[in-house]
Amino acid sequence: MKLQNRLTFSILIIAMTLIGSGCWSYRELETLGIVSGAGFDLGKDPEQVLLTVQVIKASKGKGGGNGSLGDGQGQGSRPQPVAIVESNGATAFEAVRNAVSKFSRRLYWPHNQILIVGKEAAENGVKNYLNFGIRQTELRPTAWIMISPGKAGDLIRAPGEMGQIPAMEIKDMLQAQSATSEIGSFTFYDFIERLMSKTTAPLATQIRLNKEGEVELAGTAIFKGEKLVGFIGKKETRGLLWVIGKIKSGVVIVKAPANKGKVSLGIIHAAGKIQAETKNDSVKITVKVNVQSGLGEQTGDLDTSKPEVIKSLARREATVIRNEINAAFKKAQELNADIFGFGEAVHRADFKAWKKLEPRWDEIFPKLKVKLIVKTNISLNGLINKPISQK
Amino acid sequence: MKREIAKVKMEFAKEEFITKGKDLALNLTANLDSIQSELNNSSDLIIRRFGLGGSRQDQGAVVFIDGLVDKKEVEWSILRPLMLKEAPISDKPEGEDRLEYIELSLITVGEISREHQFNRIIAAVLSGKTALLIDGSGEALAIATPGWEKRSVNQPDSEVIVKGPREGFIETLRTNTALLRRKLGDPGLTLEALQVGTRTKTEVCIAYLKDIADPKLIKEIKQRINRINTDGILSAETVEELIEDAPLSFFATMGYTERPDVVSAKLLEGRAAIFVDGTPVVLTAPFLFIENFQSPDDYTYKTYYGSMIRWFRYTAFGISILLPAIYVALTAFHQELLPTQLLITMAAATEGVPFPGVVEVLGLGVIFEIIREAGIRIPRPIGQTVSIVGALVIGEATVTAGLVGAPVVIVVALTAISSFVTPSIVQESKIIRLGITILAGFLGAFGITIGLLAILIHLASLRSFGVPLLSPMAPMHLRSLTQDVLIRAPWWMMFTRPKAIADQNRTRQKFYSRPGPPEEGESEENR
Repeated sequence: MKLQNRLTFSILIIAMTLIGSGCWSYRELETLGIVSGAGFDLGKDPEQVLLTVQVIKASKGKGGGNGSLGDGQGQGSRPQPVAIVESNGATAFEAVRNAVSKFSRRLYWPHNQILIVGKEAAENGVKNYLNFGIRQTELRPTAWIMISPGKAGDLIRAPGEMGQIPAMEIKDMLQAQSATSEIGSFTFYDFIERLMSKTTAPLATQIRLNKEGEVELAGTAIFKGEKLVGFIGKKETRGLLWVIGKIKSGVVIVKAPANKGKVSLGIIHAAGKIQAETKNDSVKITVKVNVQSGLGEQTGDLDTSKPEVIKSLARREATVIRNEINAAFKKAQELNADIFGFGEAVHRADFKAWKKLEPRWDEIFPKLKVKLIVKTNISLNGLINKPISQK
Repeated sequence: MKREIAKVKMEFAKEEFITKGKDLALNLTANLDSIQSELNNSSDLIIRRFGLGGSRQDQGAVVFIDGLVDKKEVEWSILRPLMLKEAPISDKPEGEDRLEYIELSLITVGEISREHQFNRIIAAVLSGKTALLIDGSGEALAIATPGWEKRSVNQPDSEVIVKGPREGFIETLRTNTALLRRKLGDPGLTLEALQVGTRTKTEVCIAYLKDIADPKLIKEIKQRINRINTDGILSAETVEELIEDAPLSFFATMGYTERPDVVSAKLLEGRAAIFVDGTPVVLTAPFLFIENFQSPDDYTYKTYYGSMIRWFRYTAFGISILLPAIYVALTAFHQELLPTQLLITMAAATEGVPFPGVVEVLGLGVIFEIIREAGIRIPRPIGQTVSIVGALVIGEATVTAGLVGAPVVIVVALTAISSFVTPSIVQESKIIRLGITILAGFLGAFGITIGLLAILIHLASLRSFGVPLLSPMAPMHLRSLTQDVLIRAPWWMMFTRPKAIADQNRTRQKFYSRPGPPEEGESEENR
């Protein structure tokens, strides 16, 4: 009898713990509003936050059990696969919660792909918007961070070209940029990491609507601390990426010697390295960039089978790269934003000197001299050695 | 209280034994009358009285059950030699001497025994023997003339393999032991017979290889079988449930098979087999959990594919117990773990479905079980209808009608198919799956972890005839693991028997006897 009582008791306890504590975070898929992209702007009152989110509308096509986007009522008039929700709040967190008053579902953030901050909001300081994102567990630090020269909300509202989820399209577009390496891609995490350094300038991708109303990635937004200070274009962006070693692939166009057309060189491998030396409070920075590339195409009839021709092409390539880096460096010095992380390099090289240098870095950086060593090597010729020409 | 009941029962059984243990009378007619009344004048009882050696008086009689004996054998080997005039039976003195003469010189049947107890004669007749009684003798002959109908030896439906022998056990014990004897020529193969079931009198036979099997194991099995005190043994499962180690656990602690080759392999590893008359299923013990994943085909395939297919089986078992639970946990608790595209597809498929995910999965699981059960029980010609109704109508229509999401149908179907990959653990996997799915519905991935841990702890606590069920994983034994668990090692590498089972005689063959060309200084003959 005693045993029976004990058994009943333990069963009761197990059942109660299960049922009492269970289902605590149970949420059915159809109660979630899956956020694919979000934008932060200043509200009408600058103290307010205006949040615009893109929520994925997952709906079943009629007649078929297969999950597809949209209603499938004719190919021509495909409805938007996303819903746009706008909400206001004194803080970002409140704005997120306030969305409930306009939207039937709870916003669900883990699948958020992009985070766009409008220019005005960014110039005011982004900490207001990002603290919420890094503190809350739902938001992933792998979302891509972008800055719009206009309103972020307009970009969130812009429809995708392929009828897919617009935020996903933007994400795919960003990831495809490694083909040219002219647009930097920065995750939320990268951004916060740079924001936490005292001297390094946080970076974000610049995204904008062009004259035709299409979404376009344009370059890089540069921050000084938490505030946006300016934008750099595509060439300068590549100059920046050479130095910080983020080039994966791309094309360098070189004028062939003796006006024999142009040659496109495909980047196979690129590595950038920053070395710092300190001597009596003076800082010496050396940037080494090592590039391996292959011959992609040529427009003229330059005989590329000769080694000396290849060498001269490599020299020209180095010049192009050096120009790009210099352009970026010049712009950075103009904005007085250490986008390359030279300060961190000095810190790593000589942390004692850095203690003295750090407070004065804003004065040192604009006058900094950088030694630039670019090594290029063209190793692959492709399937043909000589140009296509009539014999 | 219970002990007293058992005591009374035993005394009762003893008493019964004594009353029936009376000796035969000297008078033939009296004996035959007693047999007839003992068997309640059953219509299949045949008593044939005859005169010995051409005599006109009936001095002898054969008693047998119609249908259990081979009548030709009775005619040719018993009646003929006894009834012919040439047989000089009348010369011999009446009584036991005459019977001895008949036994030694006249009857041409191989298996024969002399009985004087009345109940033993009855038992012999009921088990298909022919009893020969003669007037004036207090003894009778029990002559084995079996000839009942039996199924031919066929490939068992439940254990089909691709390569390898096609024979399977049948319902007759003697045929089964003969099949085993044909596989194992070793004189050490020992078959010990026991009788269980107070009314069915079922013969149960323990088979083992004398110098390999642990004597303690054999003693234990015999003890447990002798402890059985039930009226009827109709299947091997009955024996299993009456002697297994963990009667309340839903995990099996004894193996079963219908294949002589499997039984032989298990005996060679030091296990014992229990044959039960009247069923083609043979029990093997001790049983390891890992045996659920071993198929005879592993050993007929090449070692690489054999090992690979075994890992597929482990995977399939994992799918069969976890997939519905993982589905529930992912869709109801951990949506962030799904890739975005997959999440969108799933969200689209479950959009507008009226039930929560757990209910869908459990409901469809129950429907599947009903369809499966119907498919087994139904007469074969109608079986097709069931599968069409089940698969097409319910599977397709529920999705089209929006009652269930398409992913749930996929999950349930994949789970069901996976569970059939490991047929011997299909019952267990169903129970585990149900439990873990419910836990996942309450607690998500946390629930899955709790469920799996509980099962693991339970499994680790189980033993089969003294051998830990999870051996050789826990307690770990590397050599057994690498020979027959992680991979199916080639035969020349399986040089030991499992430590947990045959510890006293572990060597199977010479260490590392890989085939190859003769080494230097070694002649072909010596190899």
